Amino acid sequence: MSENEASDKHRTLLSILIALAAVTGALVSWHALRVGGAASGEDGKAVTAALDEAASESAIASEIFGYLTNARRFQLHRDNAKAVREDAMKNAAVPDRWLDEWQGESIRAQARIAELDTDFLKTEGGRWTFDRERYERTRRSQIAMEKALDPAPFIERSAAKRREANLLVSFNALFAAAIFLFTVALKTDLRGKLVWTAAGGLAYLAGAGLALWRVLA
Amino acid sequence: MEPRPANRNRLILRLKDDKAFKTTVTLLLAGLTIVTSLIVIFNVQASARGSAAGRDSRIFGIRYLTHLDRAQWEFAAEKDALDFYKELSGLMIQAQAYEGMAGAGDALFYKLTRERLDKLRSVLAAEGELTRPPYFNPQGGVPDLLQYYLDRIYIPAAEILERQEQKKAEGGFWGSKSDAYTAGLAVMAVAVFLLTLSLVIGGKIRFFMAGAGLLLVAAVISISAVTGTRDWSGPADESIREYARAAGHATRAQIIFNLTGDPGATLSAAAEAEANIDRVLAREPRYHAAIQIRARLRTLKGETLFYGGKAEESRRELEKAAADLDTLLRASPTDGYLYWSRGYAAYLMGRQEASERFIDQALKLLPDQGFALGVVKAAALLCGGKAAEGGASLDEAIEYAFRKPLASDPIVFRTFIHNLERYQELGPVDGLPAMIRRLKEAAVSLAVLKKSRPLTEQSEIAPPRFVAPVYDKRGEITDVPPCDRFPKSTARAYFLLELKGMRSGQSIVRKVYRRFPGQPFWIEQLLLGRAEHWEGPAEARLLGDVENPIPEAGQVLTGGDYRIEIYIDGNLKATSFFAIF
Repeated sequence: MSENEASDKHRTLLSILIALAAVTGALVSWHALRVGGAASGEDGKAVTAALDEAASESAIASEIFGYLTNARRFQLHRDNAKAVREDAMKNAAVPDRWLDEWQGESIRAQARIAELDTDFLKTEGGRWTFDRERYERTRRSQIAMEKALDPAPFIERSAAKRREANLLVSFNALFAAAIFLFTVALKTDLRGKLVWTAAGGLAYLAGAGLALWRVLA
Repeated sequence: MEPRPANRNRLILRLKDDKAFKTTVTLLLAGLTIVTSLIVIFNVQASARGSAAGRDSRIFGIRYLTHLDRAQWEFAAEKDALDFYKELSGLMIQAQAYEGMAGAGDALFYKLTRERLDKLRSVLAAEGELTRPPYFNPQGGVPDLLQYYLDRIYIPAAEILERQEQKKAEGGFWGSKSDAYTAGLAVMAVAVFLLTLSLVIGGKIRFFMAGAGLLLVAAVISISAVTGTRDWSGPADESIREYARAAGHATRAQIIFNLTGDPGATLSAAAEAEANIDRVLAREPRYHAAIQIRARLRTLKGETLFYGGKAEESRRELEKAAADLDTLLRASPTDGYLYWSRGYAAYLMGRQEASERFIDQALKLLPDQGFALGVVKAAALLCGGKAAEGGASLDEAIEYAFRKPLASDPIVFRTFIHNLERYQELGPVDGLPAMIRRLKEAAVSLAVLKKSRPLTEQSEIAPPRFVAPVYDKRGEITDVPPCDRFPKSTARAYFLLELKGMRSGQSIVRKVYRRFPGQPFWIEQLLLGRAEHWEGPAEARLLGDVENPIPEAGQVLTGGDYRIEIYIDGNLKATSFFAIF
């Protein structure tokens, strides 16, 4: 084979390699774009979760307000009714008044307890109180069975995907380096050609290998 | 033999050689692939960080609203406990009164009832937030709702909102970086085109094409390098928390000033806020939101000192406020509120022309604030010796308030009225009393008549004469001797009002103002005011009274000087004074 023929073949090979590096770079970029798009999707889900969390917090807060005030008033009317009864036992005078007072307070206490979710009443030192923390936890769990209420996992996934997309895009520098080295090889004499071609090939293989590793991971 | 050319000339000669030129440009183009890919990498990273910050900003915005909603419900629950506490206190007072009046058996019942209610009240007090210290002082009996609001609602909200602002600013920062890279890539495409063109055309023009391409490449690389060195640096978490606390204290100081004008309480709250903000600015000297709070505090201090009659001290604070505002305006030249504050500071410093300029700028940027800004401009013009223009500006502002009722916030009217009254007291200005009267009549006309000016009418009213009625044994008034000073336990201050030429259906409005001794402002007492329509005869002599309906004040009028104004169909017809000592 003459030197010219060898040179022509080499030039053809280099042209193919340049095109291959460009196409591989484009494919990797396209994949990075898809990963980036998925990260944006996770961002959207995070915002939706925050909105759902806001809606559930609002509903839970209004429910708690009702239960808390009713429980507080229930306990105070109940305490009062009990104290009236004790006072009445100790003091026989004006029994009708004691009876009226006791009945009144008992009715008020009953009216309040009717407005309560008694599953969440707890006793502490003989007094009934509304177990606010348990109620909040329970309601949140109930709502969370239907929809996500915490944006944090989506934010984490989005960050991971963005890191992945950035990494994939950064491999383009290797493909660009390969294109540059192949172009240099194309423009130099035959002996230098091999060195530049080898360097370009290494850059290409590094980029393609890393990209393949990330895509398959 | 030809002379050996110099190195530079050798290069030019080589480039003139077509093959060498093409080789050089081709290698350059290949090199640009690397540069472009690096710019793309930076662009993608900046864009990703911008998107994440934008998402976080939206989430903080949602959390801000969630917090407000939740905090309002919490407040409602606490308020319910407080109301119950008050209810029990009322029942205890009732039981105590009955105990004193009842026979032996009933007295024991009431005594035990009172004791029982007292125990219940103690239990309730321990459960509620608004029924125990620091928000409630059992001796005084008045809860500090403002402090609760600031601690539980405002300050956490300010913190979330500030985080949202920071994320928004961060998103903007990364977005602008990404935009710069994108623009660089677009220019790079043009450069590549020019370089490629230089490969396919002949003659000297190819050098021009290649040169232009190279210049563009150099510009893109330089701009990208500068863009790459810029990094986002927001305030630290602790600084944001401290900033929010300072914003809360500053709001407290502002509310105290607006409601009472009390210089001592205002300056003390402002000093607390300033201590917070100084700590923030010691750590983050370029934190603009914190500088803004400091400017607000300095303006408030300057304003408080100004209306307190301490012009020199006021000027020192206002100069500092102006310096802060100038710094902020350099960074945000389209923030209308900064121009507003700057204009108001200049007005208080007596620099009326500067004030007018800043207010005009603010008006351009904040067209919805036509009323408030218009009034400041009117006052600045008047105090700067331009009475006619000031009057026209005030009319324009009032017409704006008429067209846009939201802008005619009664608080703004009240604030301007008491500020201008005090301004006149400190250094009389020709035409200012007329301007104050126009504002007062406009406020009443807008509220009662839904018009921007009072109606024309012919009534005659003598200034209300305060009296101390003398009663006979049957409880009927036998005499009304004049008296304009009443002791502190007074529940009602009586006055005689003589009216002539009244027509049925005319609007009659009474406004009452109070000034504590040593305080700068006559503050309007909304609960003591009345607005009615006249249904009596054309001529009448009435015995009216000023009574305090606020339960917390124990149903008596609090000490201080009082001023009463009577408006007929929006016209200020009579003014009178009395004092509770």
